[in-house]
Amino acid sequence: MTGSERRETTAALAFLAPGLLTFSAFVILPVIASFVLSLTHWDLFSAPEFIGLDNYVRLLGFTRESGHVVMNDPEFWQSLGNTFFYMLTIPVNLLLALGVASFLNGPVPFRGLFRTLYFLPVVCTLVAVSILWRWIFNPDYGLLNYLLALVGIDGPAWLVSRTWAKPAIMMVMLWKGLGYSVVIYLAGLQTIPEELHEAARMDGAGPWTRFWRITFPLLAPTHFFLAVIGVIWGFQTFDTVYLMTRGGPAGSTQPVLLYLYQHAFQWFDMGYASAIAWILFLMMMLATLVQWRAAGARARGAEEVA
Amino acid sequence: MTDRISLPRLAATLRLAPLLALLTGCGGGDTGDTSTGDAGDGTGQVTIRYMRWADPTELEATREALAAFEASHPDIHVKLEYTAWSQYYSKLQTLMAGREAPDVFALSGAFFHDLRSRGVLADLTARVDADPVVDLLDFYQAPVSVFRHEDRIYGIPRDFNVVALFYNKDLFDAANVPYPDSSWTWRELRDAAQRLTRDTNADGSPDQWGLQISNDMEVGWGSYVYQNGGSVLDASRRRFAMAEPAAVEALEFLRSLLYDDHVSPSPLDTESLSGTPFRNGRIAMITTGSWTLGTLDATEGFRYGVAPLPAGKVRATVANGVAHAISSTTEHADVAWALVEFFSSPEGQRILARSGTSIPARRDVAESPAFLDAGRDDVDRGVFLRSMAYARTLPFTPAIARWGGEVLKALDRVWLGELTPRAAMTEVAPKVDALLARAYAEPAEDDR
Repeated sequence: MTGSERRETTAALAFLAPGLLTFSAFVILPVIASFVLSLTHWDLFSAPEFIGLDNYVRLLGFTRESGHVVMNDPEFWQSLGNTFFYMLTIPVNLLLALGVASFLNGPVPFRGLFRTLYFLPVVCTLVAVSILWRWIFNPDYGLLNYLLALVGIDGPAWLVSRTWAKPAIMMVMLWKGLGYSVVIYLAGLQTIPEELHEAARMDGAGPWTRFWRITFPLLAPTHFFLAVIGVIWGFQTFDTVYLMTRGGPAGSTQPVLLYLYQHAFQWFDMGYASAIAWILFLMMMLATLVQWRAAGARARGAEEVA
Repeated sequence: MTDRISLPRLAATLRLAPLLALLTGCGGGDTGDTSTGDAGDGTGQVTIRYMRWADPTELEATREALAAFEASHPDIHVKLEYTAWSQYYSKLQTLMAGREAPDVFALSGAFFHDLRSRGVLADLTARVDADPVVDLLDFYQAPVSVFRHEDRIYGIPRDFNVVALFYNKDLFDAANVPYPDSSWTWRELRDAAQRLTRDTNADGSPDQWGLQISNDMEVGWGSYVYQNGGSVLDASRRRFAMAEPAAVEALEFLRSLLYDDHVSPSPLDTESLSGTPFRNGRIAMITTGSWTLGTLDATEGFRYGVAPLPAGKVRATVANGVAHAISSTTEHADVAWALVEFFSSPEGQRILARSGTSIPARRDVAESPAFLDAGRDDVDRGVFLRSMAYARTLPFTPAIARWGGEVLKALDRVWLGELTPRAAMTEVAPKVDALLARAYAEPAEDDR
């Protein structure tokens, strides 16, 4: 290392220090602490009591009872299942967003207005949004059932039905999340050189072919980014459900993070909550790794081969 | 050589650490007034912290009471802290875990056992025994018993609530149904509910309902279970008793009001009723606690009355108390007790009663105009006091939020019409028993 390089390193570290320090204090240390806590029983009051892997056994273990496999904590698996169910919105979100973005990328009148409109839900306060949607879902005077009645469908009591509460929440998630994906897709679309389309047009490719042969594959990094972010955010599903149904009716909409929250802040079982957090972390890690492998280097936008 | 740090000096330095922590911890903006007490300005004034949950409307009486207390105790300053009920317990627990517990605080039966078993509540037995003002025999015994454990006293009741039947007089008049009174049983309740349920627009679903039943132990199904001779937990409070026939029968009565008689709104129907269906005249009768009196009194043009809960096989209702407790870690135990003593004295109780939202815990104050004449003339507040003769307290245990939540979830499916009471209760019973076993097995007790 030359002197100037060393000076540069020092300068870089100096500039990074505030970020690194706060990151360590508020992210890395708590992460390590939560792992240690996951091996204890801790109710915030008494000193944490070391119990080894008991929390993980209680969480993930099962016993065989007269031929049946009985989970130690069925509610965890049910909530985890709900979380995965909510992730079904990811492909729908991507498809819709791609459609809307392609449309808005073209010569549309009031393009700016449309872009704003689609992005508006993203910046709306979720609390206000959920009050609005609760009204929309009201079985008696809600907008949704009114519209359904116009076409002769007798709509369900969305948020109190164990069948319909989850789809209802997913509608809100889609509505809220669409604008973000649209904006990312728009950015992706603008990186595609116009020459490619021109060349293809010269070769006689129609709009449909051009979309599938040029636009869609070249958007691979965008698809990848949105899918990875979608899954990570999907694991963190909490606020929409908390505000719309609190996990009800009868626990049917409860995502795993709400289950974690209850253990931590309602029942004050910090050890168990930490164990859930670590299992979730490992799952997210695994999901991202799988996506990383499956997507290939080009989709990741990494080391573009010249 | 000289700048080597000697062990004693290091220790002295380290001993400063807790003090520093204390100073910074109490710093929250008013450093002149910290609870470390005598500020060295010669007055020797002591500041203690008092925390309660409250709606802003309830605070006026509390502020008045604190002002009266400070007037008679010029060397004591009380800092009032409050939060909404929904966040109260979380906040209190967090403060306690951070060694920042308020000196005196309001305590609900719902979390009494969780706190007691963790040793954060001061044992007040000796104080009560020695005190010339506070004699627990002057108080209603149901709330007193909630905060007693193995003959030790951890909380002095501030006020309490009793569940009764609230009814809309206009709807009763319109349907020509006599008002409920103490002769009512489940039969009269059901009959009246049938006559008060009306489908005014003839769309096949009622838009005025006879009786609303909440999925709630305190104001909903709990009383019915007791009225039928059943119980939520067994006498030891270690086993779930709602899968027993007496409790199942009571739940079956409620289910049939929803699904056979169609006189009570199901959760699906309730979803379509707007925010305050009782006050909007869409529900003729509700069972709820005395805290509702204030809101209803303030609703202009709304005529209502209260009656004792109808009797089943026996008479029963639910009473729930709020107490004052002292932190076991307070540095000002005597001062804290002086405040609790004042709140529990006839004078303090009379001032607190002005909030009009709950019943004073002292009999002499509750049975005085301070409570009885605090509301409308045509609402018989004496109903609540007379109900105390057969009032039950809720089965408070450690971790009640946890197992109670499981029961509510199971009952959700009954009220949704998916499960019979018997099936739901049989299914949830082992879960509740396991949670109770775990709650009682927690080692925290007696560690301190």
